[in-house]
Amino acid sequence: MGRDGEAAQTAGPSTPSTPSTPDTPSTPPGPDPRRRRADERAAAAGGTSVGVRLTRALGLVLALLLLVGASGAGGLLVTGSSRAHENELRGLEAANAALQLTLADADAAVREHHDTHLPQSRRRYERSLQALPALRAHVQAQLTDPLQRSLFTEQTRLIDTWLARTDPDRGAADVTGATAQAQAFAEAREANTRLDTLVRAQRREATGTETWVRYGALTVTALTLAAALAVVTGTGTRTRRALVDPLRALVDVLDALGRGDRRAHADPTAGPAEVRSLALAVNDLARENARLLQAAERSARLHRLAGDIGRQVRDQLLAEDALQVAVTRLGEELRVARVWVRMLTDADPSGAPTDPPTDPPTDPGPATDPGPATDPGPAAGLGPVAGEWAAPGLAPLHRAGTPQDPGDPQDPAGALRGLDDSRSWLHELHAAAEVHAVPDTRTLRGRSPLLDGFLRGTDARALLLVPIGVGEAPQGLLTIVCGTGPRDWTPQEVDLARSVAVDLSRALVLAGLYRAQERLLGELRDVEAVKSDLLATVSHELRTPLTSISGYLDLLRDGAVGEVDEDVAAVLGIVERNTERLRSLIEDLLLLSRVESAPTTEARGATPVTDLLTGVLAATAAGPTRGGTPRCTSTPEELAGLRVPGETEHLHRALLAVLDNAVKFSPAGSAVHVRVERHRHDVHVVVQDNGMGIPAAEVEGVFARFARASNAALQQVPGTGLGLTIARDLLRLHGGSVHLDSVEGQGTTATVRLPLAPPPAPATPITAAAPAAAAAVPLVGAAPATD
Amino acid sequence: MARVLVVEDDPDIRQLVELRLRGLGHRVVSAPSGAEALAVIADRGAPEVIVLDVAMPGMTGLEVLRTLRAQPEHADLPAIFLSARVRPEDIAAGEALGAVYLTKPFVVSALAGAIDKALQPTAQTAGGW
Repeated sequence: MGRDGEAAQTAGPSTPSTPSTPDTPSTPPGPDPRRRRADERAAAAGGTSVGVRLTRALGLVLALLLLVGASGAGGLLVTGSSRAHENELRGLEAANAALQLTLADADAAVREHHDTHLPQSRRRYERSLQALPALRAHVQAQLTDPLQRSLFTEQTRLIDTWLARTDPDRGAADVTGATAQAQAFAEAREANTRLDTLVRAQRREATGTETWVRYGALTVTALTLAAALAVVTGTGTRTRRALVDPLRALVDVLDALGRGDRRAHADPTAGPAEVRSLALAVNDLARENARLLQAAERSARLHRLAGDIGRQVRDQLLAEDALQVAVTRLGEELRVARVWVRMLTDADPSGAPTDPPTDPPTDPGPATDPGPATDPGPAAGLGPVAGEWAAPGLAPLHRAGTPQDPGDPQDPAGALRGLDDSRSWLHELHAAAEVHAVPDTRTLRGRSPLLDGFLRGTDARALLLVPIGVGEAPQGLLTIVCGTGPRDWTPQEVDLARSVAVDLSRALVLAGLYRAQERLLGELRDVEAVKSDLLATVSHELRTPLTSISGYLDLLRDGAVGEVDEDVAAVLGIVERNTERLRSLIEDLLLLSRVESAPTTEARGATPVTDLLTGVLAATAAGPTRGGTPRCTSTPEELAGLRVPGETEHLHRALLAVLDNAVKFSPAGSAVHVRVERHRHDVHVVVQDNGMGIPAAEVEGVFARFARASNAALQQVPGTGLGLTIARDLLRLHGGSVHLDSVEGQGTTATVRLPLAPPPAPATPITAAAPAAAAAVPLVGAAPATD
Repeated sequence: MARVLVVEDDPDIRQLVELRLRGLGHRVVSAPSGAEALAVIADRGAPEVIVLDVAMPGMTGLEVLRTLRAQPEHADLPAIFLSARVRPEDIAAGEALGAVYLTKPFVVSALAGAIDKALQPTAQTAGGW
């Protein structure tokens, strides 16, 4: 397969599925799914992304946290520097205080010395003076701003003034000097105090700044943290709100899809972008799911359809009907333009209606051997179209049962493979159980004039060619032509066509058998009719002379012609007995032929057993044979209501044959007991005699035609040998039977079994007829014969 | 005693029936075919009873009786078929024409009984023959 790489696909049983194209009839109506998807995408484009929102919120929180860090660090920085400044000021303040203290100590010591002139005062004064420069340098080293420096310079000048006006050796009387000294000291001390005041003020100021910075930083941190918290909370809430509801809706949609609701559909315009994407994905999934379900349903439907069509095809008894059903159903279900079947010219002719049913079977019409023999075209081997269907509005291309018109489109068949002969191609296809599918016939154009002619003539856009046949040999070809295409034949469609082709093949075989059987049955009926007519004629022709013989015999015996002496009477008796035997034989033969050719008919009506017995007993008593005397031991009460289905006359004849035998083979005067046994579903009429009986080996044989027990023949008991045969056949016709139990020399018990008829309706005349019958006819019959 | 027309193509049987009926006291006229029987009736008037064979060359007994039944004056003519045809359909066809159907070979008593029975209802309406 596929050896020449042509576009046609040869579909095996497991060809993978190809999605159906939009223009195949299988595609459900409605907008194109792809366009619907694009529309959905467009509608879904407007959503805000949660990710973007979260990223923004995170950025904001990070910025706020950075701000917190910055404000903390700034606060710390500012606090640290102001604390150092404060410490500096504190050191300056201490140094200035130490300078004032030393200055005051020196001034006190010098004044004490003035008063006391004590050496230790002098030493104290000098020690203080010695410390003074270091203290002044210490203060100066810690000065930080010009104001401090100017105050300190003032103070230094005043201290120098004070030093200049101080003389330890000055006498106590020198009041002026003392006053100047005191004044200078006071001025120096004021200058010192001024510096101290400034430094203190500056220190207080530094302490205030630090506090302010600390509180400021704390406030900023707290506010920033609050803002970050607000951003986090707000974003979280909004995100939750944006996500949860749409997601819940999506879960509902998925649940619905899971429950099999194929219309469940997510809203792609609700919620953030991510949820919209998810909704789109869910919708895609739902669509795919629906598509798969639809494909599965279509597959299941085609599977069911194959079984349905197959049954319908197989139900047809005639090949023409099977072909028509197959092409019609396939054409309608596959929604194609044309479907037809051609049989191979040497295929089983019973299946191919190349032999029209109206023709006499013996007529070798020219239609049975159409064109291909004389015109071996590329489709050689295929006969005329045996059955064709065309879509409504299209005219059939062929006329079934007629030779192919040269103008008709030939089946491409073998030409698809470049073969001159369709037969070998069909054999190959059939042997592989394959189907030749052409999804697009454009690939076939220009290959051969035949193919081009076929494509022009049929407008075929896609093709499916299915071999028909049972067993190894193909019988024909099923051609399916699609007028629209390209069409990808799905594996289900291919399987449907293949399955119907198989059923059609079987139906054709069966139709052939049925036809042969019908023919045989017809012949049998003809034979039966001939036999029946012959028997009727023979019977009539035999009866006519027999009428004369027996009639004139009667005349002789009656003495109407003249006196008959004893010897002649004896001879006449022999002639009379044999005439009677001949008459019985003719009647039995006729009856037997009628019974044997009768179909097993539905029982018509029902006969009360009482009537049947009464009639049979009366007939036996009136009959010509003499022997036993029948006695019925069943009472009319026992028989009341018992009815057997069937024709009274036939049942009467059957029972009479059995009773006649019993009477005939019994010694004169002996009793023949007749009794009726009622069983669940049937009734038994038991006839028991004490006659000669039947040899054990011959009991079964006596039912055969013309069979007579050897002892009966020896004793010259008259009989045709047909009575029991007729009885058995008649009883069989009525669903009954007869059975013999016999001991040679002791007697025979015959049991006639008949099915019981359903109980009579209340209005039946049983109650009226039974007493009358019982009264009119003695059941113990011994009525004299009236000949 | 009655006037009986016997229609029978077989001469032996025709003679036998004549002998038997005469023995029973009836006046008998016979005809060897249906056409002659109709001619006799047209010529000499209707019998009281007509005994017919069924299978005869030319007109069958059934056709003869059907022809007679079509004539108003013979619509009720008592008829007896005496035939070697014994199939149920033959018997039914005969009885459908309102006749008694006896099969051959026949028993004299049956024929006598059938004629007596046929005469009873119409005993008074005898023609001049």
